[in-house]
Formats: sequence, structure tokens, C-alpha cells
Amino acid sequence: MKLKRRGFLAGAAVLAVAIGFGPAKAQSEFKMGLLVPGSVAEEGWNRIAYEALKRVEKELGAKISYVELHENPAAFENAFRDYASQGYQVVLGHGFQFQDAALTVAPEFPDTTFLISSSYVHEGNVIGLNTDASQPFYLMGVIAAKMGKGAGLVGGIEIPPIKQAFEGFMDGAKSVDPNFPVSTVYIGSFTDATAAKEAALSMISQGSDFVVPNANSAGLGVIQAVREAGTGIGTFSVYSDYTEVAPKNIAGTFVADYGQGIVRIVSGIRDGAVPETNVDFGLKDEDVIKFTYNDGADKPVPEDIRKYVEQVRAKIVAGEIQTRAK
Amino acid sequence: MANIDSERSPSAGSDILNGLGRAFTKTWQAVAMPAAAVLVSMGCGALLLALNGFNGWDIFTVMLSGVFQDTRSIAEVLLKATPLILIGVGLCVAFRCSIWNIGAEGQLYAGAVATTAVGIAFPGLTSWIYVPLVILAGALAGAAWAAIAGLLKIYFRASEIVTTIMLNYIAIIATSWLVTGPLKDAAAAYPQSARLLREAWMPKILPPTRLHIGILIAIALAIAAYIFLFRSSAGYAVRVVGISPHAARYAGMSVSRNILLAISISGAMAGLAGAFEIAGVTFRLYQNISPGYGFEGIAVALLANNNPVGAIFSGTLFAVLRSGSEIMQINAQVPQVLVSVIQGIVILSVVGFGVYRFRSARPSE
Repeated sequence: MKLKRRGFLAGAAVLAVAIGFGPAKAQSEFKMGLLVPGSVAEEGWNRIAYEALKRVEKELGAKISYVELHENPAAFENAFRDYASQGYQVVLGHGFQFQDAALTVAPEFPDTTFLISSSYVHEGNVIGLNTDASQPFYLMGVIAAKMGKGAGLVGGIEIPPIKQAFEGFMDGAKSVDPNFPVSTVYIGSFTDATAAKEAALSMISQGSDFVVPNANSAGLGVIQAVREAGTGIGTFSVYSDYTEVAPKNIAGTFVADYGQGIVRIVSGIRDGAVPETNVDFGLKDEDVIKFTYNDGADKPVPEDIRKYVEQVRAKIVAGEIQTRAK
Repeated sequence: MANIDSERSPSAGSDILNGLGRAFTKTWQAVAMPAAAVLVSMGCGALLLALNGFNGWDIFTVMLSGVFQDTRSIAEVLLKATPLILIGVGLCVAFRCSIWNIGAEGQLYAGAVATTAVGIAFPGLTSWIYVPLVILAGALAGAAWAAIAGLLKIYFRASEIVTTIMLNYIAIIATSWLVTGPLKDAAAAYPQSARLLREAWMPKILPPTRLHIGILIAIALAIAAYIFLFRSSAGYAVRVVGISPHAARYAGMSVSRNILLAISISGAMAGLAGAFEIAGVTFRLYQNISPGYGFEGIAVALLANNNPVGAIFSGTLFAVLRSGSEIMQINAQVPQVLVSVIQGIVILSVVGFGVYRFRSARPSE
């Protein structure tokens, strides 16, 4: 019998495709995808999400993948679909800008949970994740008003999360002393440490004895200014631990362990417990939002103030104090 | 032509042979050289991937199987090809006139802004009127933005290479200002415009994919541009001005009018690309509405040897590479930086082969 050439070729082609593309993966494998709006190679916002993803891989044994989309909104929907159509159970869009695209795509993929960073959304399987910095900033405001004569706040760019944090600080300070002076400056950059330093020095010269940054990497300039100004001037280390830069001036440190928050939420989703509302990490989440004192400072926060702050913290956790307008 | 040839040729037989030879050389240059450029860059890319611990062949199969996985992924390629083809076609016309328009990126932004402004302003229009209106607004804005560089060249002899690059910055930064200021959606924290009115959205042609009617318009315009350049007297004048402005002037053709025409056409095409991105894909204006389509369009035109019909294929090829870059990240975890390097190699070798072809095609000049 003559071998039919066409049939043979077709068979070979099918075989080649089967080998090349591999067999379908087992359904039980847990997979998480990540969309970042920039490069994960640089320190900062995108790196935070990447490190959270690596922790999900390590601690939950998930298969992970990420894609850098460089602020190109036309690509967002397609990247969500790429992951969801491949059976990824969780896809994290790291930034508010991903919310629209996720809301468009999500109804097509009910088995996938779409998480959106710095968003309050909750629609079906799209869930916003936010870190509420206004709560730790409220505590800082309380401490500054208890210990100092005036405070200065140096912000990066005037965007909602930073404005909310500063409003929390002011509310905290005013809860102690309604006339406590707080001045605010936005330097218009998240990287210009020199501008942040200049702003901080001018605030110190005008009588602020607590100067607090919230300006990503530019915030380091504030810490340097406070160190140069010497004893009597205090600050807080925000999001990163800069205690080594100004060990005598830093009264306390606030860090947000977003990775821990992501691991907790994602492991819940893996076990079938998809959050029923949007997620807002605050002081109640002690594994995520950490506020600690620096005992090595020239003027460490005294014990009685710490006790008072602990009461305030309990009230915030219980919902008796609102640190942010909803 | 035939008369001159037959005077030179000793016999009709060798005339045919010569003709065949010329046709062969032409085809060789039109197809084989771009293919060689692509192969060389793929080889370099594979080498680079191997140096970074990836298996080049595996990545290649992952990329192609991802890009051509299903209807949706193919539609996404065509969606990315649409602006690349439009810009590439427009630049073919400009480059044929020896107008080195590097400003397609800015012209795209100008078109996107105009489309957004018109697309949110007039509630109550029907789609039949509104869609053509927003598209027209985009094309006109792109043409006007490019015409600035054309007029500066005509009246002040300002190099369009410099002015179009500078106009890019102005358009891109002005767009950032608009979406954080006057055009900003008051309800959104993120800098973006309001959503286009539903009646201004371009129709989809392959639901549920995002592919819209723009790809068909792009292909039709590519063919129209080919007819314009090579089958019309107006296009002939554009090409003559491109080859020799002095000869054109001697023949009674207006150099400045043709310069303005060519750069405006390329600007209009880039403006259309911007209009389609807004009215067909994102429906909102954002700061980074183009991931560099305007610059990639230059490579699209060069790879096509400034032939608008060729730009359909080279534009699609670059769209495959672009889709592939996302697939390589998602399915093979090749870092974005490495993907960018590989894309850069592709563009370099395309341009390199283009220069070689340019030189070899004009030995006497």
C-alpha cells in the first residue's frame, strides 16, 4: 500500500504542533499574573508589586508571570485577556489606571479574580486594593502635636493618596491642639531629592520642628535636611526605613508591607475565599501596616505619649475615628 | 522606454531577457532584502536570548504560537498593525518626496487630541455622522501639525528633521497638560479625558474581539496612496520633487506646493492613526496614547522601500513583533528590556539594509 503523502504530511504537522505547543497544563495549577505600568528593574512602585509576586510564588507555590506595559492604555485590556484566557486565577493590575480595562474584561472571565492596586472598586470579580496611609499619618500628627511646636509636610505630586495621608496627619495634629500649625508643600516630583531637601530646610527655618516626607525616593532629601538641622528637629521615616540616615532625628517608622497583604489576599482566593468587598489595608492589618518607634532618637517618644497613641490606634481600628473622608 | 531599450538591445530576445532580469532584480530588492534584514535580526535576537540563558528556538515558537493562538490574538495583531500601516503609508509619500518627517508621533497625538475634543463635545449626533466627523478631525489636526514643519521648511528653509522632532515634544507635552487640566475627567483620579460619546465609537468588525473598521480603512488608504504615487500625475510630481527639486522646477512643477502636500498627507495619516486609537480602542485620551507607533512607522516605511502597499505587510510584521514582545514576557518571562533590545536590533538591521539598497539603487548619484 502506498503511503498517502498528504495524509502523512498532515499527521506530521499535527504532531509537530502538539510537540511544539505542549500538552495542556493540569487545571489544578494555581497561577497569578501581574501587569505593571513601568519597569520592575527600578526601585519603587513597580518593584513593590514584583516583590509581592515573587512572595506569592515562594510562599504559595504559585506559577507567576508579569508583563511591563509602560503606561500604554491600549495594551491593558489585551494583557488582562492574555492571562485570564490562559486560566490564571488571579491577575493584579498594579495601579488605578488598570481599573477601566479590568472592568471591561472581567465579565468574560468569571473564574478569574482581578485585583487593582490603589483602587476602591468592587464590582463582581474586580476587587480594589488600597493601603490607607491616612491612618499611620494620623498617628504621626498626634505625636508631632504632642511633642513639637509646628509641623511641615513635603509631598511629591498632589495626587489623592498623598493628599489623604496629609489630611490624616492634620486631623491627628488638630485632635491634640486645634491651633497646631501644619504647612504643606508639593515639590512636583517623586525623584527630586534636592527640591525636597530645600523645601524641608525652609520649613525648619520657619519654625517647624517636625518635617515629614511623602514623596517616594525624593523623601530622602527631607531626612537629610532634618539630620543637618540637628537635634530638636524630628521626622518620621515613611514607606522605607531610613533610620540609618538620621538615627538621632527619626521618631518613628511607618512601612507598608504590601507583599504580605497580597500574599494573604491571594492565598484566600486560592482557598476559595474571594474578598466580598474592596480591600483597604489599615492599622487593623498589623501584618501589613507597621508603625514602630525609634528608641535611639535624641528625643524618643515618651512613654505617656506612646500610651495615648495606642488608645488612638485602638479607636481608629474600631472605626471610632475616621482618618479619611470617604 | 521600450523604444530606447530596443535601440540599445541587439535583438528582441535579449530585450525580453533584460526585462526579466530587471523584474527579477526589482523583486529581489523588494522581497529578499527585507526578508534578509528580518532573518539577520532574528539570528541576533536568538543569540542574545541564548546569552541570557533562554532557548531562542523555544522563545520563537512560544511567541508565534501565542501571537497566532486564536481569533482574539490575531485580531490584536491587526489592531496594532492599523496605526503602523497608516503611519507607514503616510511616511512612504513623504519619503518619496525626500521629506524626512520624523514627527509622526506628534502628529498622532495631535490627531488623538482633536478626536477626543470633538468626540466628547456633541451629544445627540448619530453614529453615521459622528464617527466620520471624529475621524476627519483627527486627520485634519495631524495634517495641520505636520504642515507647520512644511511651512517652516518652505519659508525659512528650516530642516523638517529638526522641526518635526521638536513638534513631537510639544504635542506630547501639550497632551499631558490637556489630560491633567482642561480635558481631564473630573471624576477620575488618574489623568485621563472623559469617555467618548457612544455614537463616536468606531464600529467593531470581529466581535467579541476589539478589532475595528480602521484596519480596512488603513488597507484601502494604502492602495489609494499607491495609486496616487505611481498612477497619478500629482503623485508623479511629488516623486520628481523628491528625486530632484531642480528638475521639477525646470519642468514647471511647484516644489513648495508638493512639499506641503506630501508632508500634509503624512501628517493626516498619522493623525488618523491617533483618531483610530481614541475612537476605536481606548475611547479616552491618556498621556501615553502611543507606545512609539510614530517612530516605528519610519521603519515600516523603510522596510517597505517606501511602497505604500508594501507597508501593509511591513506594518503587520512590526505588529507581530509588538504582540510577540508581550507574549514573550507573559509566556516565557523574557524581561521587557531584553525584548526592547531585540526590537532595536530588528529596526537597526531594517534601516541598515535600507541604506544599502538606497546606495546600490543609485550608483551614479
